[in-house]
Amino acid sequence: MAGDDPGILANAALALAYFGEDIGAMIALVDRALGLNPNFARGWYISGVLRNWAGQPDIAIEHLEASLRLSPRARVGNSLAGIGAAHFLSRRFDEAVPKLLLTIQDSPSFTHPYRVLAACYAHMGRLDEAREIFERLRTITRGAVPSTTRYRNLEHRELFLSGLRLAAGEAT
Amino acid sequence: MKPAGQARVERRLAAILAADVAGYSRLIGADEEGTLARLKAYRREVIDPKIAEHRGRLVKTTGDGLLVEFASVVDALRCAVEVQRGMSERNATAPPDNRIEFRIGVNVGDIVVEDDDIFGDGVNIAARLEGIAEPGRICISARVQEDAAGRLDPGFEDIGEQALKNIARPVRVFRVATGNRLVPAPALPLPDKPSIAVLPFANLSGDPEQEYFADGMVEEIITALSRIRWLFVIARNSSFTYKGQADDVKQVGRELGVRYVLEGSVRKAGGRVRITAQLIDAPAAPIFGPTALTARSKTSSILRTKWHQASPGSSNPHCRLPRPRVRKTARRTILQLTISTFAPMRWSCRRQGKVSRPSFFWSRRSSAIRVAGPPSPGLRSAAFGCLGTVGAKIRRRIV
Repeated sequence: MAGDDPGILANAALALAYFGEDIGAMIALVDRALGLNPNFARGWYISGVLRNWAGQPDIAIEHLEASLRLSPRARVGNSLAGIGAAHFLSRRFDEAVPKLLLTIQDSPSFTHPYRVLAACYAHMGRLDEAREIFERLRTITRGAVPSTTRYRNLEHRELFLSGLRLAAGEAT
Repeated sequence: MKPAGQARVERRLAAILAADVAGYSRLIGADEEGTLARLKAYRREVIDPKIAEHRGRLVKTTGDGLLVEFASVVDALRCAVEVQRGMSERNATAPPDNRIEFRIGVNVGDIVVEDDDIFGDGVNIAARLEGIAEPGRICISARVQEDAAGRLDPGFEDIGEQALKNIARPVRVFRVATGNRLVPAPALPLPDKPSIAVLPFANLSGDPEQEYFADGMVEEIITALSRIRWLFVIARNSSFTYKGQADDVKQVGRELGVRYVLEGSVRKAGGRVRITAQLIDAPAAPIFGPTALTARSKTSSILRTKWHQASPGSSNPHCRLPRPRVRKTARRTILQLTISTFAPMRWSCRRQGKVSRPSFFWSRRSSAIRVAGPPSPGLRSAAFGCLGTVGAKIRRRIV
């Protein structure tokens, strides 16, 4: 029954990838969902998220933009967070910042964009702003610096965690 | 004749912008110095430069408020939009309870000028409009909307006639789109394939129970259409934001960036449900419609519904399903709506040279059947009958 239900396929792929399942296999599941329903906005969003985790930020941006285009009046926060993160992973920090700020404005309790923005500011050398964002993050969650990340690409993981540590005022 | 010595009153027509800070007392109570410093900084960085840029004259400030006069409605509205956009950017990183958010009202009317101050109904209405605006939002009078339409289009929402305090007559008010949509939004470009949004069907039954049926049916149509590769279908989350709104379909098409919009209604009377659908070419005119199907309930279950066509010669000239009555499930009825929906689009695309299949009728038929699964021979014949009639009608109209 789930085999031809794009919603189940895509959401299962996201959940399994979140808990560490093989990212390539999960991307294949989402691709199958999108093959069944090429107008599935959430499917494109999930695909974008997984591509970020898999270390393919440019494809992630394409898919997240496809999601936004298919649902232009939905809340933009989650998709923009993904696009901001993709720019961050590609070291396009200047492009990442406005997207992440908009995300925080749209979804002020969504913690991930705070982390990426704090890391982004830190790598840009804007440490005051990085620390301010990090302090705000700490008012929302106790686990401001996660023990692990979903990024499978080592370079991306290090970029994210080192920025976050800088924002937290820790030695890297 | 005027009494000797009475000064001549100077009047002029002007656009008035009134603004104040929402929750100013609360902000001051929480942090007096910090709030004043931030307000001063926002004035210096955002508000004063925007007023100057749009050739406004700051008439007066009142602690948390300000009154500005413009010679042009477009300048006044553009200034309001840009101020709110600038404030929105600055508030992005501020905690929600610590944001300085302006409410803005804009009106155009006759004002009395005295010692650089301004008075009159034009000013009072602007102040009242500001009073009914939500924090971070802009309210304008209908006259401002009329003058600005076509020159500046940030998106206007008609909120009807409002009784404003101490204003004798109700004023028709428009809310200006804010947040991320504050920038005058260019129409989204059309995708390179046929694109459609299916709007929620109106429930004309007067029976709230039918709301679920209408929404469920629209969801089914969206899902069925979404699976067609050559079609671009707007997601349910976006199309359902128009539920209960009487929007201009052209505007909907522009906002969603689609060529076609399907709208319709569901009406239950006695044991019958009548579903009417209309496909609209958003930049142009209705392609067909309304196409109606009538169902008579056999049991209380929606899925066990006996569908039959409106009889030939009835009020439904667009749908000619063959006799005798054929029993169809709700899903099969959706198939008919689906066929009716995309057949003319396919045809229209072929006319534009975007579809190069040799047989238009064959391709759309096969797509339709693939979407809904293999129908019964009776249904197939009914669906093709409907399809043929709609196609021929469109052909006659366009060719």
